[in-house]
Amino acid sequence: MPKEQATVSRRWKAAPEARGGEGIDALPGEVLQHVLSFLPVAEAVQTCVLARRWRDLWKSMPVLRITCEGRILNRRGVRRLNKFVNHLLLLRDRSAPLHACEIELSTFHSQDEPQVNLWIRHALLCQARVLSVHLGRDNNSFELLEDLPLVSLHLTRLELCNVVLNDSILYFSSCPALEELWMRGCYVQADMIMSQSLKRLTILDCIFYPNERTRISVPSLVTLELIECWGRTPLLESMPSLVTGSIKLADCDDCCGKEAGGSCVDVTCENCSSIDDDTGDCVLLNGLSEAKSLELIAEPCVFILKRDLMWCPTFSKLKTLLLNDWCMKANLGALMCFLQHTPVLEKLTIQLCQAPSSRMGTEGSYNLTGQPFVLSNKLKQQQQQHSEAPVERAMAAGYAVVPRN
Amino acid sequence: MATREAGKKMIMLKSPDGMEFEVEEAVAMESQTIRKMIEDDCADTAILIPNINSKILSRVIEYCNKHVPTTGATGAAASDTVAPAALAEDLKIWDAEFIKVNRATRFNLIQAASYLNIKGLLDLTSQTTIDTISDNSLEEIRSFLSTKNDYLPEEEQTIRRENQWAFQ
Repeated sequence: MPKEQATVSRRWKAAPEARGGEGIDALPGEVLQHVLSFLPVAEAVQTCVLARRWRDLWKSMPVLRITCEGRILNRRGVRRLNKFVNHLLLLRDRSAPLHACEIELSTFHSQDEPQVNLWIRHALLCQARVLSVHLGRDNNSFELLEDLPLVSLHLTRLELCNVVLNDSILYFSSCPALEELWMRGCYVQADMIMSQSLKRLTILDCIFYPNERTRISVPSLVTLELIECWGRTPLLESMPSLVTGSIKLADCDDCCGKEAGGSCVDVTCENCSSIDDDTGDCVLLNGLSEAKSLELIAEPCVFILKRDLMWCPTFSKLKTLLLNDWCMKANLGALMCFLQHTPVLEKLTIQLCQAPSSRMGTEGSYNLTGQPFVLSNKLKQQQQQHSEAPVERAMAAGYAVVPRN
Repeated sequence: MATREAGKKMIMLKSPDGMEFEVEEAVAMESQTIRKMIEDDCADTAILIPNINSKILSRVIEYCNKHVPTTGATGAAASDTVAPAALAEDLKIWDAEFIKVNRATRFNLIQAASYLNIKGLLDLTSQTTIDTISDNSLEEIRSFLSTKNDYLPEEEQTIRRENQWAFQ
């Protein structure tokens, strides 16, 4: 056994030499640099006066957190920040790998803007793999990269908050390693979001106001979240590798008063103009048709999911589906359509935000008996298949009805 | 030394002070360094972890046990009923308790996490260290970090002038 152990331990690279003392100085330099990178970058640079060993540590930190720590910047503040970051980037050791660059600024009131675009391009030149830009909500007219494309062979994750995004930046053909895009509160003016490599896409609270409905073309996507966006809901193109999709539609342009039982005053309303013909595009469902798990939540006035059912694809891999009130309208028409197009569905959850009416069971289950619709032969077969599957369902047709608190 | 218990492959970890820890392979593989050894087939026996004493190694294993995904040795079976968000919140509370250790232990944990390449533990220990020094004076920071100022006074002045842009 000792012999074997010796063999094994030879394969370890030599453990870094611990330096004297019980304090943080015992840690190797690269570990100290990792610890330092948790500090806002200004404080990290200031550690140069701690002791000789710390003098140049900041120059090769793998992560730069550029932040104004929540302060509102006036003109002087912006100039000071620009001076600081420009010094930082010029004096930093360019040969040291830069893993991530995080820029987090709150409000700036000034004719002078922070030179965020310059810093981003510098970070990409330094081969940063993670880039995040968070601006304050008040600065949401800041145009990221002034309509220049992002170019990086190394960027894998991009996080953007409260910035304006034009066509070029969302056309990721020059970012072949990009796998994750996270956006919140951004103003999207692009006709297209395009990436061959993207695997995870999260779009929260963004505003879509291009001339045409934005098309999202991300054929390698695995996970999609499209939550409470404004303007026209983007159109999803085919995503053959998609596993989970989560869509939540609220106060967007694809709302129609008639859907909520009122009237519609919008002369350009797509719902009113095309309600009886089958022209137009399937906006969401076609793109989601390969998913294994879907959440499709919409406010009552949103018509886009219901209209998509005119071109309802077959969800041949869908095992888990969550819907809310919108599928219960028109004598459960939407729900029936889903059941007919989901041959391997195992778990269906319907989330109700209204108080259960007298038609609903008080135990949170939904009783199908006595409902005014006729099941097709096909659907009955499906129900039989369903009943063999290991499912969490309440009643014969098998759905769990979950009242939302 | 690798054995099987209830279908789970076990790995023996040894500290330089002679203590042995038998852990599930999945738990040990929370360390990217050990994972690489296992994947390269170098770990079919006891693995000696240099430079990490038994006290620190047992804390590291405790951390990995808690953070190993789903059906870990904690007995907490993966459950559809527990929402991921609740699980994450539970882990956060656990982490906060776990890291309530003295400075020397925390620095040792940083070193161990770095050497064994356990990102979650390295981030937790680093962040905790930073939280304790943020917004403190230079002297306080030196004291928190137990680092000794070895600059000559004029040297320190020069460094300050050189990096004046960072002190404004």
